[in-house]
Amino acid sequence: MIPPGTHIELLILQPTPFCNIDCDYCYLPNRADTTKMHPDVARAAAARVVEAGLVGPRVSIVWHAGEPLTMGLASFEALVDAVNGAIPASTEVTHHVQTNAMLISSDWCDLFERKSIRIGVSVDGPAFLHDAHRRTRSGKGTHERTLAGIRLLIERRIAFHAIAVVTEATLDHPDEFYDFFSPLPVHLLGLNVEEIEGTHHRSSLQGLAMKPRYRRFMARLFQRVQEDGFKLGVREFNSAMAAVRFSGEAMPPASDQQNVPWRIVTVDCGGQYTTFSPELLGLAWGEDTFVIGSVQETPIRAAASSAKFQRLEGEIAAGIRACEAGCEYFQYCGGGAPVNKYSENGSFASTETMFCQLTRKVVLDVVAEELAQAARSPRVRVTAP
Amino acid sequence: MAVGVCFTLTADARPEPSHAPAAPLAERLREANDSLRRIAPPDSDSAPRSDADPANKGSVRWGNYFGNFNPWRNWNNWPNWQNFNQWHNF
Repeated sequence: MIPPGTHIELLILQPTPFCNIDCDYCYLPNRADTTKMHPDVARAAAARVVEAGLVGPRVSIVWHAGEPLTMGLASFEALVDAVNGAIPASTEVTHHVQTNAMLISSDWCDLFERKSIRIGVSVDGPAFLHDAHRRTRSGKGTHERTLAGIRLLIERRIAFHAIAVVTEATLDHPDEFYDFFSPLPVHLLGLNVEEIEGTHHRSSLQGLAMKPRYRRFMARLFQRVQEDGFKLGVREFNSAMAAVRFSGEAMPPASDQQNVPWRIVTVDCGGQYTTFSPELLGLAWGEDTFVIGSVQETPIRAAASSAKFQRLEGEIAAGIRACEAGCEYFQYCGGGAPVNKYSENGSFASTETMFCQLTRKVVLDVVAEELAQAARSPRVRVTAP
Repeated sequence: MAVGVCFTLTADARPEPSHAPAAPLAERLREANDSLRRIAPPDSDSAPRSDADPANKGSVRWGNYFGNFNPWRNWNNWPNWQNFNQWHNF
């Protein structure tokens, strides 16, 4: 059953599993598979969430996983049109593309403008960090071509956000990392830690020694961001500042859109779908998968009534309860990301992960400490105004 | 010549914070909230200030701690703070 008032926030559509590069930390399987989503599948995906009553006043369509621009411009535009045609005009639809930017051209920029598509660029910072992991299948670095795409976006004044994967190598270079991003007109920088997920079974951030190093990296990054008056928006810091801003007030616990069903629906290029963490699509669940339906065949309300979904929901809920019972960060976290619990601990009904240590606990610790420190130790000096 | 006083925050080396905070998280966040209120009072909903003063390059003026940010307006998305992501809150 879908609780009344439930609205989807992200409809994540994987237009193709194919990626034109071969990042060594990627969790996605089948990155060499060139299958493309047919517009009928995109249309059916949108129609299913509408049919289920999940669409509210606005919805974000995220084209993500694989490299969406390898679809080709005409094919991609056909997908966007198919989705738009299936959603009532009363709903504000915003399309987003997460791309490595290497294939961005003037024609793509025209499409981004024509369809008001919002862009996210995957770039890990300066070349020596980026090219250490984000390489072509022949082993060449991709930083230069990514920057070429970024330059085109800037020339065309197309706003974009950036996602950077933070690996062990990044931790020793917070200043170089900040100095790369601070001049760029990114409206938001998201730090994705190198996760243990899917086909990526080990992370360079694993191990007890990493947490203090990650903390030092984040502290230095926060200092640089605050020195510059928060001109660079960093997703993690903005989030933690919201937690600080509301601390002391009687607020309900935070919630995580990954552990509440139907706030995210993820559909692969063939039309198979799941909910909760998007990365679950494509992972094995014992002998099974996390697919709970096909947009061509399975209404979402039918999927929500299935034994498979209910088992998944029940295990995830058990994990949330365990977090609530034993973790002081629960109020600010909401129980964690199911895919990280599953991938790291082997069970949704579990608690702490490397992911939550680094992306929730350390971030809150650092921001709380840095703010307190800033207020404790201002210096006084006399200046001529 | 008029002489003004301003406070600055600098990025000078200082002792590393403890990696095992003694205080509970809620207490530390309340302290951070208090600090935030001292640094940028919520009732000072003033227009963005300029930080163009070259004398302040490399440091942060007290009254300009948040530059063009008003923390009471810009960090305002509880309870979904960790969903403050690149596909929302544009």
